[in-house]
Amino acid sequence: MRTTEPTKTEYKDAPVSLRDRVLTRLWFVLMLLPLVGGMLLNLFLTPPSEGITVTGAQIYFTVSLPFENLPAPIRDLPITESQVNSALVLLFLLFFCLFLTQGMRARGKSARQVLAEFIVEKVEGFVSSTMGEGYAGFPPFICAILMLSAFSSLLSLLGLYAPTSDINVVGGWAILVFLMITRYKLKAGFGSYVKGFLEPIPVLAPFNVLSEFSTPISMAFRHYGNVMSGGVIATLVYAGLAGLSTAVFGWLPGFLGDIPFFQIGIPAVLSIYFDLFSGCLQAFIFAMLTMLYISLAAPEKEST
Amino acid sequence: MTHLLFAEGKFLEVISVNFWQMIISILNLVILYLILKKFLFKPVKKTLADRRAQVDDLYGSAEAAKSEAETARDEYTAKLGNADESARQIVSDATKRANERADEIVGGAKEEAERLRHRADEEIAQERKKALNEVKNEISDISVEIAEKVVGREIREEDHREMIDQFIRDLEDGDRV
Repeated sequence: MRTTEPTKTEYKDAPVSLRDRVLTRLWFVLMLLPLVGGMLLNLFLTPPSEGITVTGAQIYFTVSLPFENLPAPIRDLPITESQVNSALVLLFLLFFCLFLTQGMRARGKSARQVLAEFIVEKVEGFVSSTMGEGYAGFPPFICAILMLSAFSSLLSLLGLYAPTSDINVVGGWAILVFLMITRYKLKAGFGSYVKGFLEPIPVLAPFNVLSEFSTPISMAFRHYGNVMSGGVIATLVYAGLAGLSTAVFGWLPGFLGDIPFFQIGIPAVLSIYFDLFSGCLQAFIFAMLTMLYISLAAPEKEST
Repeated sequence: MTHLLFAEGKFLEVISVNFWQMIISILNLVILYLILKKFLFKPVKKTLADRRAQVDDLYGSAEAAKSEAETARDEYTAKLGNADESARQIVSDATKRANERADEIVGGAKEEAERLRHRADEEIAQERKKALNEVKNEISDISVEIAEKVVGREIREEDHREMIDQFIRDLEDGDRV
C-alpha cells in the first residue's frame, strides 16, 4: 500500500505587519506634503498679478556661480518656480512609489499593489510593443518621462506653475533623449554614423545635420508650447470672463457687482482639456517619440 | 498680499534659455529614472517573480497530485476487478458445496426411505406368515371340531391333524402353482 502524503506547501503571506501599516501612512503623508508645501509656497511667494500678464516662471533667487570669467547667462543660475516645482514632483513621485510598494506581497490584492503592478506592466507592454524586444532597461526611463511630464503638467491643477511650460525643463529632457539617440546611432560605429549624414547624396549633408538637431528642438517645443499655450489661454479666458462678469452683472449693488460670476465653473471645463487631457497627451507623445527615435536609431539587431 | 521671504518678484521671459536649468532638468529626469527603477520597478518585478515561482510550484504539486490520484485510481480499479473475480469464485464455490450437500441429503433420505420400506416389507411378510399360521391352526382346529361333530365321535386328533395339514399344504401348493 502506498501512503505518500501529498507534499503540502502553504503559500500564505504573512499578516500585514504594524511596521508596514505605519510606513504606508507615513509615505502617504510625505507624498502629500510636497503638494501642500508647493501650494503654500505659491500662496506666499507669488505677487498678485495686475491685468493680463503672460510671463515665464517666477525667479525666486539667483545663484551667481563663482566663475568671474564666464559670460553672465552661464554664470547666473536663477532658481525659479520650474526648479522648485520639479523638485516637488520628484519628492511626490518618490513617496508615491514608496507608498505603492510598501509591504508588497506575492498574493497581495491591495489597491496600492494592484496600481503599482498595473503601472509597471502597462509601461513594459508599452515599451516592448513600441520598441520591440531587447530594450529591457528602458521601461523605467520611459516611465520616468511619462510620470515627470504628466505630473509636472498636472501641477497646474493645483494652481501651481507647471514646470513643463518652461522651455528649459522640457529642453533638458529633449537634449537627454537626443544624446541617447546619438549614442544608439554611434553603436553601429562612428564611420557609419557620419556616413548616415551623407545619404542619399552628400549634397544633402547640411540638411541632414539640420534635421538631426531639429529632433530635440521640435520635441521640446511641441511639449512646451502645448502646456504653455494652455496656461496662456486659461489666463486670457479668466480675464475675459472677469470683464464679461463686470459688463453683465456690474449693475448689481455693492460687492455683488464685483463678483466674477462667469469665472465659476466655466474655467474648470477648459482646465479638463488643457491641464488633464493635454498634459497627459503631451507626456504620452514625448515618451512615444523618445521610444520611436531611439528604436529607429538603434542598429538592426542581427546576431545579438 | 505682498510677496515675502526671498522672492524677487521677477519673472523669466516666456522663452528664455538657460544652460544650468537644462542641466538641472536632465538631472531631475535621471534621478526620477533611478527612483522608479529602485522603488517601483524592482519591488514590483520581485513580487511578480515571487508570484510566478509560487504559481509554478503550485502547478507542479497539482500535477504530482493528479498523477498520484490517477495511479491510485488505476490501483483501485484493478483491485475492484480482483474483488469481482473472487466474489464470483466464492459464490460458485458456495453453490457447488450447497449442491453437493443437497445431493448428499437427498441421497441419505432416499436410502433411509428404502431401508424403512424394506423393514416394513419384512414385517409385513412376517405378519402374513404369522397370520397364515394362525389361520392354518384355526382351520385345522375348526376342521377337527367339524369333523368331530360330523363323525360324532372322537377322532384321534394326531392322525387327523396330520391328514388335514397335508391337505392344507396341498391347497397351499395348489395356490402357489
